[in-house]
Amino acid sequence: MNKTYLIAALILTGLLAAGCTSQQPAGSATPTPGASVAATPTPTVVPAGAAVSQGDLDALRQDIESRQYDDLQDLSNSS
Amino acid sequence: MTRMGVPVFVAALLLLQVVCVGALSAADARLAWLDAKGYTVQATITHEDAKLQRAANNTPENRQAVVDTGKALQNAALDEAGAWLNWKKLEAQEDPLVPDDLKQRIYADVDSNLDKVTELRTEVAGVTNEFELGVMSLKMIGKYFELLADVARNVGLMWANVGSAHADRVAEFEAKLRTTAQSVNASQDVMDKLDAAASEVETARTNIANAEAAYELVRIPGTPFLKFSEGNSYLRAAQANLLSAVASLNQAYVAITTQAGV
Repeated sequence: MNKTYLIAALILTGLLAAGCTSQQPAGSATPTPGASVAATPTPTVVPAGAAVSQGDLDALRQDIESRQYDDLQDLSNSS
Repeated sequence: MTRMGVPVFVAALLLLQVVCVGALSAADARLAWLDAKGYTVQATITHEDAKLQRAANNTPENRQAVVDTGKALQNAALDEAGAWLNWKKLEAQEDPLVPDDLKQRIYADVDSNLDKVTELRTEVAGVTNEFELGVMSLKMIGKYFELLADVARNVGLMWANVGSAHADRVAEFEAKLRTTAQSVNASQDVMDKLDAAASEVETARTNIANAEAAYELVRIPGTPFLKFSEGNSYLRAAQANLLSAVASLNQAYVAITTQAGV
């Protein structure tokens, strides 16, 4: 029984960690540890001084995509 | 762990998770605004129905129903305005790309207009007959622009500011990838992709400048909401330009890393 509780606790702790990680700023290009296969890390284009990573591009795309520009309506049709 | 321990532990974790994702409150505020918009639409339908009933049968009860539903509609519109103002404040608060002075202007405008919403709510509560309801309706139409115009203008300028920051970032990545492409003698196709990205960024900058000009005209007297929509249209176009630019950069990036054997 205790083993079941331990497994449940581990799963929930993982979910908690995932929730906390999800609120990192959208502009943050820090890759999630362990998200990619260890043998094939996200490559950074050389030379190092001018580095751009796939993570940088993905984060920027997501930040641009997330913007919503909602219009406003007046009250003349509803009063 | 006791039998009660697991539920308590789960509840504590869920509570912590809610705290952790508290940064999503601007998104929640947007949903609250969309809900409020829905209530205004419903209240409008109910009020129109009441007016039809009164036209068909002009009884005291039906006249009172017109007043009651009219007041409910005005309160719904004030709720909608309040929800929008709250959302804009949180949006500005949470966005790291918004300069502090613009944030402060938005906070001040929002707080001042939320006070006006409260004052209008008191006036709506004082309406007792159809004549007063009609006067209040006319007042609300004008006040609605006043309530939202200042914040809408500054929010538009905030969005334009963020758009410019995005354009700068895309341009920065384009320049870095161009340096890298030149250092590895990348193919013409890669250079074409980078040129395409640079061109999209320039178009985006033009759209952002047009948006900014439109937002500056979100003022009274005038047509503030139309100008706000116009600015939004330019920013949506700029957003498409920047996404296209990032897609080109992505293709260039893949080609460079493949060529470099990274």
